[in-house]
Amino acid sequence: MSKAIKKSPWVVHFNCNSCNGCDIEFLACLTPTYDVERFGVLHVGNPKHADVLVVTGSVNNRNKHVLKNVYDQMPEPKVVVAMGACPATGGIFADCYNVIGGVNAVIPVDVHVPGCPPKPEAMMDGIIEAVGILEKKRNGETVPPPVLPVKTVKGPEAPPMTPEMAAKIAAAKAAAAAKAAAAKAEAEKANENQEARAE
Amino acid sequence: MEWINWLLPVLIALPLVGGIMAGIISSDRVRYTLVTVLAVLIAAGGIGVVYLSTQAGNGVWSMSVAPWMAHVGAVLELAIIAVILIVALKIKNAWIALFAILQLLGVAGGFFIHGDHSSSFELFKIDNLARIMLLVSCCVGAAILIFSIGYMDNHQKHAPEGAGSLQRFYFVFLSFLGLMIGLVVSNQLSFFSFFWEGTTLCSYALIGQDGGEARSKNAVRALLINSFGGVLLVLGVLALKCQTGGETFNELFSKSVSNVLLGKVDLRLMAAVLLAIAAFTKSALFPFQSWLLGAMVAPTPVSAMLHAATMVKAGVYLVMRLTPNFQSDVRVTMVIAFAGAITFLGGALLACTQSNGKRVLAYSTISNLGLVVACAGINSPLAYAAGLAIISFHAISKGLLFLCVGRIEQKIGSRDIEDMDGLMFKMPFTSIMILIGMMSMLLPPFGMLLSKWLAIEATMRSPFLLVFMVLGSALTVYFWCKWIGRIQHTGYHPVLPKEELPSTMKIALSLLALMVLATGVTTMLILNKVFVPMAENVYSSKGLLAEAATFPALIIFGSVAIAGIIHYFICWHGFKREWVRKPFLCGENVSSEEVEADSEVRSYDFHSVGGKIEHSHVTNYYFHGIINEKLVTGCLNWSAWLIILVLIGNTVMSGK
Amino acid sequence: MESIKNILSNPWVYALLVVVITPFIGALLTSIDRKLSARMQGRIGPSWFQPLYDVAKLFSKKPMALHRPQLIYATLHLVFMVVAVVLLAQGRDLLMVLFVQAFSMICLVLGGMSVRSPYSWIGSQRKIMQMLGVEPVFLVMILALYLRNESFLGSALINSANTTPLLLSMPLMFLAFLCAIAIEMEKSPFDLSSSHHAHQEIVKGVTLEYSGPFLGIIEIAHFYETAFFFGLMMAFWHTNILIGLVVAMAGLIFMTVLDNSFARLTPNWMLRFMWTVPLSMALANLIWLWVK
Repeated sequence: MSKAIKKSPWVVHFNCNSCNGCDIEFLACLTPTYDVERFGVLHVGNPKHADVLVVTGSVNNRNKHVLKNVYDQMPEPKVVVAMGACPATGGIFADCYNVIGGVNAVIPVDVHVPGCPPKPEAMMDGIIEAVGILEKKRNGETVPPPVLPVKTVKGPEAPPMTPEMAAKIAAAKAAAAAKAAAAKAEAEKANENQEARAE
Repeated sequence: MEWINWLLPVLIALPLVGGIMAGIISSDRVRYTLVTVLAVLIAAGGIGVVYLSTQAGNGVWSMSVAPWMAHVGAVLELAIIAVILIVALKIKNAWIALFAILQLLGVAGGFFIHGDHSSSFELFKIDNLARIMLLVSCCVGAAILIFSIGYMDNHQKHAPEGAGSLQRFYFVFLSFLGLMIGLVVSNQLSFFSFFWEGTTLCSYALIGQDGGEARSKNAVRALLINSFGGVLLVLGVLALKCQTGGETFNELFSKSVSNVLLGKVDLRLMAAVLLAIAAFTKSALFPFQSWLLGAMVAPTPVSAMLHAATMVKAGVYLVMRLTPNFQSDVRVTMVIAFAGAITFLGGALLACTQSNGKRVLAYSTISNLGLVVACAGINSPLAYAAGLAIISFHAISKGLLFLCVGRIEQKIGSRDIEDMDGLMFKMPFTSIMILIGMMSMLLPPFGMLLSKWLAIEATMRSPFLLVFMVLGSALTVYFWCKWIGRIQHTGYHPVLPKEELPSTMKIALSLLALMVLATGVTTMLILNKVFVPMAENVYSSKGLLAEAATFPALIIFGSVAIAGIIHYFICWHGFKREWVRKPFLCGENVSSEEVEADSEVRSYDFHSVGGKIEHSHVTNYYFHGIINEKLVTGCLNWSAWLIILVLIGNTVMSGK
Repeated sequence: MESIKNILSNPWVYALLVVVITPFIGALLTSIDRKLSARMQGRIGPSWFQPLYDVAKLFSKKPMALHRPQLIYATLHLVFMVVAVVLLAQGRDLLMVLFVQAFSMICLVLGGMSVRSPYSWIGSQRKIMQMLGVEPVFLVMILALYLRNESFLGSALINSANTTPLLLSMPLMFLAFLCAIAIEMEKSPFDLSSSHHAHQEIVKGVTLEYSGPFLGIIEIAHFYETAFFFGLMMAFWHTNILIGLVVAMAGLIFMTVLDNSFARLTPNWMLRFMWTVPLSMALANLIWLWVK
């Protein structure tokens, strides 16, 4: 019974703000070249039937509750695999105004598969790793969270706003607005010329 | 032996007298007490009569009366037709007046035919078929009467302008039941016609109970179609009188008389066929179904009474009575079977396209009546047993269903199936009752399923008829499933809320549900010990259930019971709150805080574009755009008329 | 040897044996199906024991549900399916066997409708439409059998004096029956109610809201169902069990090929198709038998 869980990990894949690179590579695992089904892996479309949650992409404020709900709707025992750089740390989007960070910010991650995107082989290795953890969880063992191979996630904090900076920003904005108005006027002029020529 | 001689007339008179009393009494409380007492007495009396009549020799009890009683019958008949004529003149409907005048002429013509008026005849006769009908009418009718107290009390408070009073309602309603009881035991055709026309008149009065233009239109339609049937009935009786000189069922069924009149036409058979077509109008078979659909506008107890206990059952009763005595006329009975089969299929098909609960029930009734007529037409012992079983099981289940829908309509103000969404946790008691009713229409161990199984096995002889049966029974499953699903479509609720409803309603619903469950558990027993011997008796054949005897009741019920016990301990009793999750909505489910903050938000709602909270609702599939109700009804009506023409044609040609 | 035979002829022992062995046959057939699809797509495919692993895994998971009534229907679905298989194996009244199988499907539908999930609801609606398409064909088939054997009993078929294999006397019926099985076993183009490959369109339809052990119950019922239909296909060559196996295997392979080569079509199309082509084929065959 406990062995069976190792032989049939059903995977649900959640795209959480990803650029689709990892998703395409992940789907490549299903193709004849890699054929994950020989390990009993089945790609299912909903968390209620799944054992492994594969997340791609970074987590932002819009989709964090979706990720949480999907995770909550999976029956125990379950594992989470973070596929790629973004779900590990936020990746190159880590500094975006809306990005919270990696998947770890919302739900506990069991396996990180680094890469941007990771190779299908690496993904398969990640799933096999996850299956091992799944069996341990099933047997009631506690599994320590994985250690991330990166040091810093976010860039340096932005300096506090000073009056000079505010003035600078306002001036830059005004300049930009003037430039835009000039460009618009020029475009209108060109348009008029064109109409005149047409007449 | 002697008890029954006065018990039966009392049983017929009881509702009639009670109706008059209820009509006179002005105090609501006294009237309700009277109705309750009457309901109990009618049920007890019905069971008593049935029991006493079985004590008679060879199972058939009859009561002979003096010859002059025939004139009493004729006068009664004339009187009631005169009332119909007056009604027709009052509402200025030329067709009904014409039909009434034709009937008057027919009955009057009967006086000029010299028959045997000197010897005594059998006025009342109770055989097995009549016993079943008596039990159905009295028991289901009594439950409906009890229900009507709570219902009409509430109904009258919200009745539309111009609605009839409660006095009028109970006068007609009780008389209706009395007339029906008289109908099933009458053996003399004048009395039979009197009771027949009486039920027609009562149904007219009851459908128009609440006043208003639409209602009176539907009431007039019911009267019109049933008067047409009345004309056929009178003509049939006339034909019989011409042929044999007598006017009881005994003459109709006796094969000794065979003098042929009117060229080559066998008038005895003609009489039977005319009676059968009259029965089609009463049973609302295609093409006469429109009056039963229109009858939905009446208060619910009336619908229940029409569908379950009286009226439409009178028609199939007549057909069931006729066909076994015409076994040699296969060409004619087979056409009757086709008329039934096309109704079975058409009713089921149209029921699938309806979202109005009462209309679904009406079409399902029509469909089941068609099945009974088909069974009667097949004219084999197995089919006859199936027909008997359908009449009785259907009456109980349909009575329950109608009363439940009436109750639901009063509570939620709609009879649309889509509005009954998640009713299970709004009105748990009524929902459980209606679920029992619906499950009994399609799942084992309930009787309807077994009767349908018998009916299909009995249809074997004619593959063409079979196509109708097979398609019809597949469609039946479809519309019941949809409805059951809608009612129990709910989220998680730890405990059932308590439902408030008048005690009379509670008692009536529980009684009917109990009857459904009791007959459900003992279906096989009832079939083997009651219906099959009756059919064997009628057809004088033996051992017809050799196949059905192998019905694997033990295996099915045994495994369901074992699984049920295991399931109870593991999944029901062992159910834990922490198992509960929200449904899968692509992860966009609302959070528990949002549900608590706003009472409008349900746990199964979801976030849509822009974080807006939306309610997910998917309706049932009603074949909109594929099946056009009007078109299908038109086609079915034409085919049904064609079948009736073929039926008459076959009869005319059948003279040897 | 004699004593073993005696024990086997006891109806209770026989029934128990059927109940125990059938799911394994069903699992084997399922894995043949999966393996074959994989080979057709140029993959290796899962292990031969994969369906068993799947079910064992499902039972090792923690239970999860939406509410209580939902679970009743899962149990009833399995029970009715088991009963149908047992009745078929005992050679009982075939009409009743198919009725019981239909109840099993009805229970699945009602289970899907009892929960507040739009996907599950749509799946159930489609499932009853599928039943609407399938039931007439099944019933006509049983009636054709009656015309041939003068009995509804399955055992009468085996014991009948008529030794022509069924396939030769009702070839059109077999084709119609294959279409019906493709619907019941959720094969493309008819996999409407639970789009089971990667759960597209309506996610997983009727079975969406079942998970863990309860999904396992439904999977086991599916094994029984597969074996049930395999048995019915074998009955088309009832005179020789080996040829029967070949016929049924051919039917199964046909189903897999169908599954791999078609896209899903709409429920309306399915209903129109079933009530015209296969039904009229079945009726034609019935009338032919009747005339003969």
